[in-house]
Amino acid sequence: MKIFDFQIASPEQYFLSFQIDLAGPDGQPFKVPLGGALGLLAAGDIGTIAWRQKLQQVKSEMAERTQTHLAEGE
Amino acid sequence: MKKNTKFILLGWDAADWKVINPMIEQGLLPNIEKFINDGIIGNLATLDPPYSPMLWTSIATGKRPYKHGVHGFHEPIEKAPGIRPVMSTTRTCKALWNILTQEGYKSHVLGWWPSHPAEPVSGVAISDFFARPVGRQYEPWPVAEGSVHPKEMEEHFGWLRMHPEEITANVIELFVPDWQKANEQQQKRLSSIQRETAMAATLHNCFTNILREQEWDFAALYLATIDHYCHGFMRFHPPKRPHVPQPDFDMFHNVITAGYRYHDMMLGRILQLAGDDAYVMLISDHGFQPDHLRPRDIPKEPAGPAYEHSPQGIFMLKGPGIKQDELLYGASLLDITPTILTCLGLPVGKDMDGKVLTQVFAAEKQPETIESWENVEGDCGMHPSGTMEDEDANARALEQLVELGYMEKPSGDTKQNRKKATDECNFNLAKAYMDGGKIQEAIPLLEKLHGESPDTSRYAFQLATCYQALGKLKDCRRIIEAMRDREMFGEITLDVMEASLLLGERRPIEAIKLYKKAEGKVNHFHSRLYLQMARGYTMLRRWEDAERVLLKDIDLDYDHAAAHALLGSVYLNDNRFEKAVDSLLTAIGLQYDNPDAHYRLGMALKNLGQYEKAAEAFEVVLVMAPKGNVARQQLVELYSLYLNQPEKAAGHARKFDQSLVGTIHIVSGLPRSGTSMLMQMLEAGGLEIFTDKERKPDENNPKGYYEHNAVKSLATNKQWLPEAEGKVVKAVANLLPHLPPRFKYKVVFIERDLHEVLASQRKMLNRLGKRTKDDVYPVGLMQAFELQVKKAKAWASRQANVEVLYVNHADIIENPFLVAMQIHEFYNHQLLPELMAQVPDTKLHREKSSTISITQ
Repeated sequence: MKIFDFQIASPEQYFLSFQIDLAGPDGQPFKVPLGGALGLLAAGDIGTIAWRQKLQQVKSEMAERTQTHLAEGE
Repeated sequence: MKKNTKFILLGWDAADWKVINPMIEQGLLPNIEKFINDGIIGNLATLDPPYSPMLWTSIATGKRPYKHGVHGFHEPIEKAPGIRPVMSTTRTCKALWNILTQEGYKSHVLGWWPSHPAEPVSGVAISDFFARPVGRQYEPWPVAEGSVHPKEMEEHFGWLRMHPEEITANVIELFVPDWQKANEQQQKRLSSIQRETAMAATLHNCFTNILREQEWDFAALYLATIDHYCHGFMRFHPPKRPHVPQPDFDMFHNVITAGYRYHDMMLGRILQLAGDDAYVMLISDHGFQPDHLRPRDIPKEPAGPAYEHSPQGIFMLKGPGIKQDELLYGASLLDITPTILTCLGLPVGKDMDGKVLTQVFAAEKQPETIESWENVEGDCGMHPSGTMEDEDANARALEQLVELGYMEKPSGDTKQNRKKATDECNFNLAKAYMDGGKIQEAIPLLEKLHGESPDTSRYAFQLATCYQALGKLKDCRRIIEAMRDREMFGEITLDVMEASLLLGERRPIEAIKLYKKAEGKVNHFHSRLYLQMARGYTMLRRWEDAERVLLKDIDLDYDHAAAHALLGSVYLNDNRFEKAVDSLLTAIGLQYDNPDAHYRLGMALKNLGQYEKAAEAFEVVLVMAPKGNVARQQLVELYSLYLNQPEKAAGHARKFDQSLVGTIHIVSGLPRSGTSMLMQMLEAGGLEIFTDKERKPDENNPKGYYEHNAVKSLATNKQWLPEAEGKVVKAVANLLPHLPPRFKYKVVFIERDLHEVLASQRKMLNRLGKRTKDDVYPVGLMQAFELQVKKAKAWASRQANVEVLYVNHADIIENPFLVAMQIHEFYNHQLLPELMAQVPDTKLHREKSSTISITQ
C-alpha cells in the first residue's frame, strides 16, 4: 500500500502541489469557480483539491495585493 | 498478490427506481442511464425489519441478522451511558471484505454501516464515524480515533474531508434555488443539506483517491445521503400533497431531484476511474416512497422513520460477462455477497442465506460452494475482541441517530438506557426470525417482551401475529382481547386485527363484517384492508365480490403486487383463465420473486392448453423454491402426458422422491368415524402423537380427542408441519388435499358405515346441546360425506409421496388384533400390535348401523 510520509510533506503541501487539469462536459478546460460547484464535489478528490488550490491561490493573491497596497501606502 | 478481477460495490441507502425512472426520462441522470444500458438491473427485495445497519450487514455477509449479530441501530453496553451505536465489532461473522482480505485481494471499504472501528483489512478501511463533522469550519476537527485503517493514513484522508460550511451557495442553490428567502426554521433544513452533502463529499473524495492512488481489487463505498435527504425532504417532493405547507413545498421541492443528480455525477466519476474491465454493482437496501404512498404521519416509536421506506431497493450490475440492457428478477439483498464471490471466482458459504444471481451472467455459470467461510483460518482483517472505543465518537454517532429520529435521546439513567437497548435489539431479532420463517424462535423473545411490557402495542401485535401464523389461535385471541381491554389501539385497528384472526380461524363472514366496518376509516395502504377482505371472499368462493374489492385495492395502488396475484388466483378459481394469466403476469412483473404467482400462472396456462408455457412457469417455481414439489408434480404430468418428454418427467419424478424431507403419519377419515380410537392404537403401538391436548376428553370421546388446533388451519397455515415430523397427526378427510408435498405421508384412513357416522355425529351434537332435526334424515349431508371420502381417496391415489392403508371401523371392533397386525405391517413391523389391540372398547361402539332407525 502507498503510505505517504507526512514527516516530509504535510497532506496540505502534498495535495496543493498537484497539477490538476479539469475539463468541462464540452471537453474545454474547466475554470474552477471560487464559490465551488457541485461538479467539483462530484469529481471527488481532484475536484476538492482543485477548488482548494483555487482558494489558496486567491488567498495568496489577496495577501500579495494587500502587501503591495500597504507598501505603496508607505 | 494482484488479482485479475476488479470489483466496485456502491451502496446508496434508500435509492428507489420510482424516483430514478422519471428522472432518466427527463435526461437528468445520464450516468445511471448509461449504466442501465451497459448492464443488468432490477429490484432488490429488502428484509424485515428494514433498518439500515442490519440490512447493510446482511448485504455484506449474505446472512440474516440472527446469524450476523447486528440487531438494530444501537446496542447495550455496561458502562455509561449504557448504549452505543452498533459497530464493526458487533458483527459476529466475516464480511465480504474480510473474506477477500483472507484470499489475498486488496480490499478497501469506506463508510459502511456499521464499520467503526475501521477493520484491519488488506487495503484502506474508513469507518462510518469518519465523515461526521464537529464544530465550525476553522475549528479543530480531529479524525475520530480508530476511523481510519491504516492509522498512518489518518492525516492523508483527514485532509480530504469536507466540512458542511464548505458547501457554498453555488452548491446549495441547486438544491434550494430560493435559499436566500429561507426563514429561521427553513434555514435549519438548509444546514442539514450542507451536512449531508459534505459527508457524502468526504467519503467520495477518499474513495476516488483510493481508486486513483492505491492498488485495488475490491472497493466498497456506502453513502447514507439519499436516505437522509429523503427523510428530511421527501415530504416536499412533487406532487404536493394537501397537508404540506405551500411555502415549504416552494422552498424544498427540488432537494430530492438535486440529491439524485449529485449522486449520478459522483457515479460518473467512479465509472471513469473503474475502467471497462471492472465489475461495478450499485445497490440500495430498500426504497423510499416518493408518491401518494408517502405516510402522512410517522409512528412515534423507535425506528419510526423506517415507515417511509418501501420494500424494494435497486440493483444494477455491469462488468465482464454480465448481461447488457437486461432486467433481473427475484433478487434479494441476501444475494449480493454470494453473487460477488461468484463474480470473483470464489466459493459461496453454504451457511449464507442468499443465493447466487446466476441470471446476471451472459454465459452459464456454476457457482462453487464451501461449508462456511467462518471455518477458513488465517488473517481476515477482523478486530480481535476487546478492541478500543472512542467514547466521544460514539456519543456523536448517537446524536446523529437521535437527529434522524431513529432513537430517543438517551436519558441520564444508564440502567434504563441499557434495558431499552436490550429490548429493542430483542424485538428486532424476533422480527428478523419472523422474516426468516423462524416463528418458533421469535415467540420466546416476544413473550418475554410482552410479559414485561404488556402495554407496548408493537410487542403485543407481533406476538399475536406469530401465534396466528403457528395456528395458535386461542393465544392470538387472548392477546387481541387484552389489547382491547387495555385500549392499546383504536377500536378500528383492533377490529382489523381481529378480522385477520377470524380469517385465520376460517370465519370469513365475521371477518368481512369487521373489514366493512373499518372501510373508509383506516389508511388502506397500511392495513391492506381490501386485500384481506378479498381473502375472506375467496374463502367463501364469492369470486365476484373478491374481484370487486381487489379492483378497488389496485385502483388505490396499482403497484400492489399481492392484490394482482390474488386477483389472478380468483380468476383461476373462477375458470376465467385468460384474465388469470393477465393478472398474474402483472403481479410477477411487479414482484417476480413470488413462486405462488408463478405456480398459478402455470395452472392457468395449463388450463388454456399452453403446455410449454405452463411448464416454463413451473420450472421458474422450482428455481425459486427448489423444494416446490407441487410444481414438480405438475411438471411430471406435463412432460409425460402432454409434451412427450419422458426423460424430463422421470428426472422430476426422481427429484421429487429425493426432496421429501421426512415422514408424517396421518390418521384420517370422517369426523366420528373412529379416528380418535385409531390415534390411541397408534400411541399404544409406540408412535408419538402430535396433540396440544386442548380438547379435553368428554362423554363423546372418553379417552380424548388426540387433536391439535393447528391442524384445523392446514388450508392456510402449514408452518407447524415440521413440528409434526415423525409424529401421528389426526386430520379429517377433507383436509388431506391441503398436505403439502414436501413430506412423505403414511396415512391410515378409517372407513365407517356412513349411517353410523351420521348417527354418531347427531348424538354428539345433541349431547353438546345443539339441536338436530331428528325427523329429517340428512340425505344431502350423506352425499357430501361420500364425496369427501371419494375426493380424499382420489387425491391420495395421485400423490407419489402418500401411502395409504384403509381400515374399517367394524373390523377394528370385531377383530382388533387382526387390524393391529395390518397396521403393524404397514409400519414395517415397528409397532406393538398386542398393545394396540387392547385399545378398542366395544362398549364405546354405540352406533351400529343395524340399530339406527331412519326416517327418510
